[in-house]
Amino acid sequence: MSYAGGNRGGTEAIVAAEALRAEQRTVHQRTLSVEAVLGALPEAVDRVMGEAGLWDEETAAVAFLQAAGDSAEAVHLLRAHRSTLTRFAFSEPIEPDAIVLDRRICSAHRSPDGPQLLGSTVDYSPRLLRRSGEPDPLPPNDELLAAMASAEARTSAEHPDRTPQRFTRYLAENNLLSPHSESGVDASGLEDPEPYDLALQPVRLPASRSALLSAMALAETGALVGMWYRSITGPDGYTDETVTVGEVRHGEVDLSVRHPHTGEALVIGQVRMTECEAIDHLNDRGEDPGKFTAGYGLALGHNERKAISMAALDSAAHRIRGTALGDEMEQSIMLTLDGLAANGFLEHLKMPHYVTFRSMMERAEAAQAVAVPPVSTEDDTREDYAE
Amino acid sequence: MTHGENIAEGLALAESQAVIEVADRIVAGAESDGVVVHVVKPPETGIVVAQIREPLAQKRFILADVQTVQAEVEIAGVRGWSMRMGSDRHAAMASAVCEAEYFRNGPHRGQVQDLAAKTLRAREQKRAQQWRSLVPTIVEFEEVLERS
Repeated sequence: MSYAGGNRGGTEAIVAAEALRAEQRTVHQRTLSVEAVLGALPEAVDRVMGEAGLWDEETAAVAFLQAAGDSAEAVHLLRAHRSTLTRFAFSEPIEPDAIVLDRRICSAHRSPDGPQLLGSTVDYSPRLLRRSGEPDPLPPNDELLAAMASAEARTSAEHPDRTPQRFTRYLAENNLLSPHSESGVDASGLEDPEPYDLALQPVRLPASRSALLSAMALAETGALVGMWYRSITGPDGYTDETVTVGEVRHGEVDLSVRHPHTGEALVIGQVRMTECEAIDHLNDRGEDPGKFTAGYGLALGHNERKAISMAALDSAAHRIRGTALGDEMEQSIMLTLDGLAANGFLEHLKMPHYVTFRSMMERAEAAQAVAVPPVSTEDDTREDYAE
Repeated sequence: MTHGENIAEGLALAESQAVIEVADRIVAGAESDGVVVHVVKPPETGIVVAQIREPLAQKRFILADVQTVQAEVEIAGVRGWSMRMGSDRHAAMASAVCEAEYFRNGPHRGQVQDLAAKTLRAREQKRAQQWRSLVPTIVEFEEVLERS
């Protein structure tokens, strides 16, 4: 901090405070292994990886443990670690259609191409707290048991493992999807421009869609959901609540790089991700009510809230691009959603501000010294203003 | 995909312990045969930038970085390179040794091929098993029949 050089003392207290924390937590953390965190708290680990912008489950679990479950602190640790790593290469562009699914929901259509695959979820279960060892408070009745047995009897032959067509393709085939304005060549005449690189390039406004998508993929989940919800119920009102989820998918994609000797692409591993397409009816003034538009959301790991809010905001940003509200929205996405930046600024308020505040006090005292006593008005006598 | 890429892929995905065991045999054999094993690039942990081609406008954006570890060796003048996800430096070194052995047609080439093939087969089997466990979670709506 900026005052560190100007203030002597306090080092002993800092060391003692860190030692106290270590003493309080080390015993428990020793008994909680990285494997246990990965097995029991995978969604927390996924969230940390997504907000840190680094995929490595084991390292993220180490950070989560060290941060004592404080996800913002874990993100800070992981980002700091990430900043020390050499950048070897760009992956081959990942095609989301190649996802190997373990969950797929289409809220827009009862029978889309491919299955409504619930996967592992508690979306449809009552939220009843259940302590370890306690019996199921809502055990399945005979009818449910029969249904479960019937489901278990299904075979892979009846339901082959394949990646279904995404719902936007169905809309496009039925001439119901407005072509995306970013399709084809861009303003520079490029069909496939390089993606915006937030790690190396400063934020510039107006932001490209590539930059907006990257910023949202890295965003703090709560901030992103909050921004989306504000756009629904808040004072801005720049999107509508009729957004429909065309796809929510969770699964695994291959990560490929070029072999430096052969030049061929090869798979080096898999990354899990959550994908969403949000569908909007173009029913605002000046739009084509015969068409829909769509937004895209993608989050590292399993994080459906993030993917859905990102998709809805991508669609909104696309629809209002170039307007005053659109400019504000782009600024908010690019400058306010990063958890590390926001939490860092907030946390810094705890650091010594003795000099700046002393300066403010002196200005306040000087202002008082030269101030003309205010003229009493009728409002000043109101009860609201009474001391 | 060429056969070489199949090998590199199988080695990148192989269990750490399995690839280290094969590499240890290769290095021991090379030493006893007087073959020089030279480390070109010691294992280093770094990142690969994961870029996505989003499906609506077919444009790329950056999703995140992926932690990886890479290494490069040379056996009898033939180079082997590896990149694996994570930070297991020992396994990265072992994968590079295996790849070099494969490309130089060394005496353990068959073991490298077997390991790569076994790894890729195990991956397919694991997915088939996972899909079987997912099938019961597919929604089958009941039809409401109209009375004629």
